[in-house]
Amino acid sequence: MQRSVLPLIAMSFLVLFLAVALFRPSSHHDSALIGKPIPKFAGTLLLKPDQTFTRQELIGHVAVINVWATWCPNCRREHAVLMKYASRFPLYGLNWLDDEVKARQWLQALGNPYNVIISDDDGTIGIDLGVSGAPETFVIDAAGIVREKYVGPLSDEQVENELLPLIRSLTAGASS
Amino acid sequence: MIIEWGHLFLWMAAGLSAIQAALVFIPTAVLEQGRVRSTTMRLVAVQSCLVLLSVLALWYAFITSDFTVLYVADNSNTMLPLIYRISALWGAHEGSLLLWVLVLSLWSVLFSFGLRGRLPQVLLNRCLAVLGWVSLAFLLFMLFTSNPFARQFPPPLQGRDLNPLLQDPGLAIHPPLLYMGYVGFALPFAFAVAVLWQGEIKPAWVRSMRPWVLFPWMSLTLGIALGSWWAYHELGWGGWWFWDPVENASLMPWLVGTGLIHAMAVSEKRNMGHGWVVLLAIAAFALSLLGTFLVRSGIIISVHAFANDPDRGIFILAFFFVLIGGSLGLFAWRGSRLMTGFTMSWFSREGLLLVNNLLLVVMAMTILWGTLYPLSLELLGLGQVSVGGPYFEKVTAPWALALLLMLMIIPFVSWKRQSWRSLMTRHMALLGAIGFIVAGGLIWLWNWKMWLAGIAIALAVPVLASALYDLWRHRKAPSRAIIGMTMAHIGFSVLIIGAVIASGFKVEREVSFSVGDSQTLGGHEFTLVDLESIKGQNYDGVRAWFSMQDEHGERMLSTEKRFYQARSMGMTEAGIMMGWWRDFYVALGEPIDDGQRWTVRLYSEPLVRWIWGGAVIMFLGGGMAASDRRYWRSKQLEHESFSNEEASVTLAVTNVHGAALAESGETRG
Amino acid sequence: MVCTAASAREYEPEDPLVRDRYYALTHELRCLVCQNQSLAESEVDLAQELKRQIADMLEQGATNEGVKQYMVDRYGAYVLYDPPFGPRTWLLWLAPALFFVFGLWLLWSVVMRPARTGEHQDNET
Repeated sequence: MQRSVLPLIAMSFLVLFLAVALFRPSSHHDSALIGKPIPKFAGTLLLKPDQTFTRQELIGHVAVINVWATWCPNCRREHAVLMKYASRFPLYGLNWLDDEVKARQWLQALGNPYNVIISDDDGTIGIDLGVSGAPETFVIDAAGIVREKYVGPLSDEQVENELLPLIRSLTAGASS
Repeated sequence: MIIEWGHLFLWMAAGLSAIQAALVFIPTAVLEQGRVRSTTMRLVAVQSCLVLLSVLALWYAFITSDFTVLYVADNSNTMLPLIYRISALWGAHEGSLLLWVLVLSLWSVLFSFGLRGRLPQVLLNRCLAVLGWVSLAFLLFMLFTSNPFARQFPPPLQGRDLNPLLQDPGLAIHPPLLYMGYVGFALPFAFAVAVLWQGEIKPAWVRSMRPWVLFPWMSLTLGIALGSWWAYHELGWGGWWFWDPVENASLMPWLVGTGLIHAMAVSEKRNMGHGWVVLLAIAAFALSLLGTFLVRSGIIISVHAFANDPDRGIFILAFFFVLIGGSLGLFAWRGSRLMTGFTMSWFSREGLLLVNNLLLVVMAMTILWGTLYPLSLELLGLGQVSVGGPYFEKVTAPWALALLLMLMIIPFVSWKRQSWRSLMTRHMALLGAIGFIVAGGLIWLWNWKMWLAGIAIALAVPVLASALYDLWRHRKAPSRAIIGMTMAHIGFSVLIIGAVIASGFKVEREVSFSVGDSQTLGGHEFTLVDLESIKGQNYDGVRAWFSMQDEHGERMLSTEKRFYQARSMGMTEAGIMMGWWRDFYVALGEPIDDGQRWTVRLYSEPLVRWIWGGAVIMFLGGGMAASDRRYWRSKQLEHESFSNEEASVTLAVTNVHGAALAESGETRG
Repeated sequence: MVCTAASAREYEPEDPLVRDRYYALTHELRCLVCQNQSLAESEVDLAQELKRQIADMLEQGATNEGVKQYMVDRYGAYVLYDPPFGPRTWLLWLAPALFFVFGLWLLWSVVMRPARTGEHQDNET
């Protein structure tokens, strides 16, 4: 009798495991870069193609890099949120795997929340950052270390409750 | 109105299955009455009529493109060819559940008629009661969470169209076949629970049940093979097995089902190992249900996954727990009544068959483990890990090879006990020699790179040889069961050889072509001859014509890139030059810039047809075995456990007393 | 996410040996955009760019390990379909053998029970 209970016990564990797994928060792939310095890159600016932009320009202050593209419907939704909050922190855009002409038209039509937009039409910069979709948003501290990555469109709540406090604490930490 | 009737019929069917399930609570004395038996059978028959009518109602909605039915609007389109409007019934979650229920009720009817007079009527009633529970669970699930008859007003002008991936003849048969397998394993499950409930089991009953395990196994074999064949033809990159969680979900019950068939042989012939049979029967169905759960709950991401709905997932998990927990609980409580307490020796046919069972079960558990491992790591907060093809191939290979080794040995091992020396007859030595020669030659050719393939071939070839020898050995008293078994074993070896060679020796190229460009692959020269625009009933696209040239001549091959407007989905139609020894596969990739130049994938796939060929042979072998009259004898003969032919075979193989007895044994039969 | 590509690139390495490694690698790496497809099977822009980079790296002499490390640095261990044998995965790799041993023990203790082999009985009904 003793051993014949084993299958029942094993099955119960399996069911428990599956039940817990069902209600887990949706899979969140942590960036491989968190805690590491932002990789070296160089790209041209979308709106001023004769100028280049390197990671050096991100050092010295807390920066937020937002990855977006015109083919990405969630980026459109996120755009309004960015327009609303962009004045509160240094926002950089990475135009990823996109058509530059379309991107410029989009900005003209919808407005430009970014300080600077780096053009990455072949996706190489995105690859170095571990970008696998749009929109994604990185938070980088003053020393150039990647601190956080948000996957998916930012909502008002997320900006108020997570992003802005994070930026504040990083800024405070840097200046102390 | 027809739609409402369809919906109503499902409710009525649920009511009937509740009554059927309630038989569980009826005392044995009442169950023994003939009236109860015939009432049960009528319940089952009426239920299946109701479900069938319901299915017809939904089909009517599809054929008339009634978009007030939400399910039809989501999966069909007025431009969809008629045959796909029909097969769209099982194209998504709700309809596939209806298919599940239909197949279950049809199997139940066949089962009740097929076993009448072949199982004690009390036992049969108990089986039907258990089937009632299963049926009830699925009907309630469907009615409460996934109603295929849900309506929408006003209806949209046009439907969303069936997923283009599913618009293929293979689709018409793949899910129904697969479901006949999954659902069919409810039959041995019902038997297992009934037998536990009854508290006894007899070899004659196991014998009667055998066809009803073979039928689902056959369906599942063919269903899985068809799925693989379809993926190969439809998905455009020459692969035939991806270790995708849903594919794994179909392989696991198959492995356990195969184990069940072999365990039943032990149970039937030696009146031992019954507990194991019961456990395997429960496990096979449990894995079928688990597969259902995995596909529909959104717990695992897969190209196949139907629905991402935790609420549905919890419902399935709940009735899984009730059904399987209940049966395993019953096993824990009363399983000991079925155990005969006899021991086996390792080196006997029954012992080795149990080891073979162990290999199959371990293989299934390995696959389950690998499929769920990333999930468990994630839950424990230990990060993300991907477990895919490379892992599964490495980890299942040893068991597959060990199974081949068993296949080579077991048919020559006698029941009860075999001594080592007697096994080393000249037959085994010859087989071993063949194996070594084949392995040696292959390894020499491959320079150790393909040692795994070499071992597999080295084992599979002798298995084929020994299977054919086995057939020859029984030529004087051929029984369908033995022929069927041998065919199935041959099929398995053919499949393994095909799989090993196709994976190991596949050549893959991805090259860009403009009209006039050429590329050589596998001794053939492929030239792009023409690019034309095409338009189909619900798609438009481009077709590329290739000429394939070798020393024998020139053949044409076409491949297409289609765009289905309704779903904004692109699809590739590969061009395949099929052959028994090698397939050539051409698939259009993506246009470069203006569309005058395209990337094209070219593959050479040796022996790939053997994979599905082997599966078909297994299927036919199963059918042959199932048709053996010994499994269809009615109850009166249940006291006879050995027929004449079995006796002669056993004696012929037992070498304990020397060749003389073997001689007389063969002539006696 | 709809997996379609805008425009394609050519990227197969020239050298046949390198090419074989290229194809083997692209089957072992995950396409992160599509659900459960390898890089080899994916036609998405990102996958194509990654394949081009991998082809370049291999042609410049990178080892298989080097390429995998490149991908893991950027995308994490999730990108490898062949999980490396490490502290997080030793249970994954060892489990099959453990199952087998456990099963053998179970078989022996429940069915074989060598101490009682002498009582091996004949039991045709």
